[in-house]
Amino acid sequence: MLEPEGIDVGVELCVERRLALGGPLIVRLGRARLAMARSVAAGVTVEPAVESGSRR
Amino acid sequence: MRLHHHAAAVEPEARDVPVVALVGRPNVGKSTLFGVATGRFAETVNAPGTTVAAERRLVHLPQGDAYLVDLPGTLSLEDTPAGSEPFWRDLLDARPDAILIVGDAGDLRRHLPLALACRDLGLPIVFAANLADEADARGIDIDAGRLSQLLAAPVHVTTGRAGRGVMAAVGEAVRLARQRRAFLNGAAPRGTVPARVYGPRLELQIQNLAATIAPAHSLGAAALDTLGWGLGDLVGESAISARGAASLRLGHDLEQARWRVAAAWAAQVERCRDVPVRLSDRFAVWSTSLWPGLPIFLAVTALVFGTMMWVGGTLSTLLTDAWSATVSPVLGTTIHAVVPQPVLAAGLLWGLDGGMLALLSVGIPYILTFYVLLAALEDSGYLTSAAVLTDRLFNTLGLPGRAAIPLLAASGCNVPAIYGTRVLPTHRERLLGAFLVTMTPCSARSAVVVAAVAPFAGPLAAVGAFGLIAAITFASGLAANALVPGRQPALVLELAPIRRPIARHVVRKAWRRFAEFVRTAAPIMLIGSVALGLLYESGLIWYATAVLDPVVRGWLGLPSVAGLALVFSFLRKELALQLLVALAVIQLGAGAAGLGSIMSPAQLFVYAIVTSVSVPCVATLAALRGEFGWRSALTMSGSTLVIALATGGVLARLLGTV
Repeated sequence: MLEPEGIDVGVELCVERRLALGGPLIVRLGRARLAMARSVAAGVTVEPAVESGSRR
Repeated sequence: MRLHHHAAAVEPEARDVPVVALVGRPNVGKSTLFGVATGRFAETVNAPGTTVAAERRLVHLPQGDAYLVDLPGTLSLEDTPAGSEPFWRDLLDARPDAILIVGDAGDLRRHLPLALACRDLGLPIVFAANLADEADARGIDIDAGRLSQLLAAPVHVTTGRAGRGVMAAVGEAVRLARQRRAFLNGAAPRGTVPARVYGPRLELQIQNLAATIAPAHSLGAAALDTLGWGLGDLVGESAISARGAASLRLGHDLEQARWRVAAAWAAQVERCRDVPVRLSDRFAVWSTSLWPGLPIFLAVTALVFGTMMWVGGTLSTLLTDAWSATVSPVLGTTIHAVVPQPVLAAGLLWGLDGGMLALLSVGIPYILTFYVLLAALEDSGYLTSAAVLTDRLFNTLGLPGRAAIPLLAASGCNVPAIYGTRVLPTHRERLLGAFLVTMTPCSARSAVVVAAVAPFAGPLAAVGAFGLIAAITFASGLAANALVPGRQPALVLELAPIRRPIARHVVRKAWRRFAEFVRTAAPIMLIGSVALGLLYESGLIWYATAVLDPVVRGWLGLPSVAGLALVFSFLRKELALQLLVALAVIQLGAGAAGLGSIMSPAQLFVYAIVTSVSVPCVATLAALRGEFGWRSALTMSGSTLVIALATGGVLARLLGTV
């Protein structure tokens, strides 16, 4: 489901916003903005970016 | 329209005309580009997933004639944007001789993987780096020459909405398509050969697999096609190369590599400048947050509702007054002169005069106004923001957030809202959305509730009636979500950029949809009006009171005449009260000249709820039939009747009217 959107191992992304009451997450991926249900987001493992100043 | 087997159905002379397929991710402007290239309007929406069927048109260019095929937006060749079949099947069913890939010039990293996948098929490709104006505004320039070298294919920078660069890109694709067609017909081969970009391991894997995919006309090919994908057939028919067939089989494995290559290429060809953040980009961020997103959402919906009511109401009055003053008298005289039988003449007059009045009072003013507003919202890209903001609320009803738009419109008029459910991505969601639309009180039904309840039972009772209707609608939505098979897919949605709507797009789109409404709904409204008119004028309608009595008197505790008014309100909901009084006067005499003299406040409360929730009007039924077919339309309408009667019966007992 996420691979065609470009979310794959090693990709850097930034959580822009979490909507209240269990609403979707808004994620920045490069120049695109994606809305993602929390059930989908729960399946994504993230870790902090190594490079300082890079987007997460 | 599916394109399966369309090649066989194409007229013989069309077989020699090359085909160019338009391929791209959702909401990248393919349909806009298609419309510019073909010189005819193609319906577009600034939201992902709005082209759900392929459209094919013949174009005449200096390079020669060609068919252009606009396909649904897709994330990859394996994606299923138009149902259960992977996109590559739809693409290859169109038998393209070349592919015009439309990508976002401002986000090549996300758009080049699809270009790579198309290139792997072994067909000539042209890459249109579209939305160049937006990329420029974001400070992104691309080196088209370098990208062309990397892709080993022509690259054109285009701005579809302004038409810039479009014909050059399409012309190039047509030229390549004609070259390929000439090659297939025996001329010297001049096709492109994909460069090997995926690294030695994957390239060897592709090469080895390609060697095992034998063309279908070769001995034993069918036995080798163990997956039943028909790739051997496609290779045998020169629809794709053996390498292309292998790349489809390795689709998932190659996808990650394509994204890696795309990222590296994008970094090479993009040049970024520092530019101030655009107001539209700021608005896009604001509109997806609770503050100020929620007030923006409420303001937009209030604006849509208010404009629809004001413009629609004004137009409705103007049109109906004009019709009544000029056409109605002439029509009446003519029909009575031409049709000697009085009952038949009166019935026809009901249909032609009453039916046209219904169309003029609802169809043209409210629906056309709503379509203009909806088209503007779609073109602006705001719908995806609204969808995200209200997603959680509507999820409980099995709907995505963007269902808010048609449901709010339904409070003005149900008919355009039924068509408005097209903004929902799946058939199931459209069905659930349309069902809730039919239960949402439109302006006419709201007027009935207010006029029947407030003067006799007080304003608080009227507010309570609306609260009860909202609760019934919500509970019905929950039940429908549980009963209709299927599940709502979890939300993964690319947010559309906010753009200023283009007036000519908005007007053309609204007009096209309106014409469709008139074609589908008008005949049903006119025929329904004639049928009811004949029943009334022949007196047969009064026999209905006896049939309806067990339900109307026995179950709902209402006077018999209320049943007839309910039947007539099927024609126009706002008639429910006027007709009730008129029919009561005819049946009961002059003493029944006011609602209060016919029914008690409790009975009026029950009547208002039943009228509001029960079967939608004939125009709504026509819209439902046009969008979902008779079966679904009757099921939804029947369900609302059952819910209305059940609620009315329970209320009657609670309020002591039975």
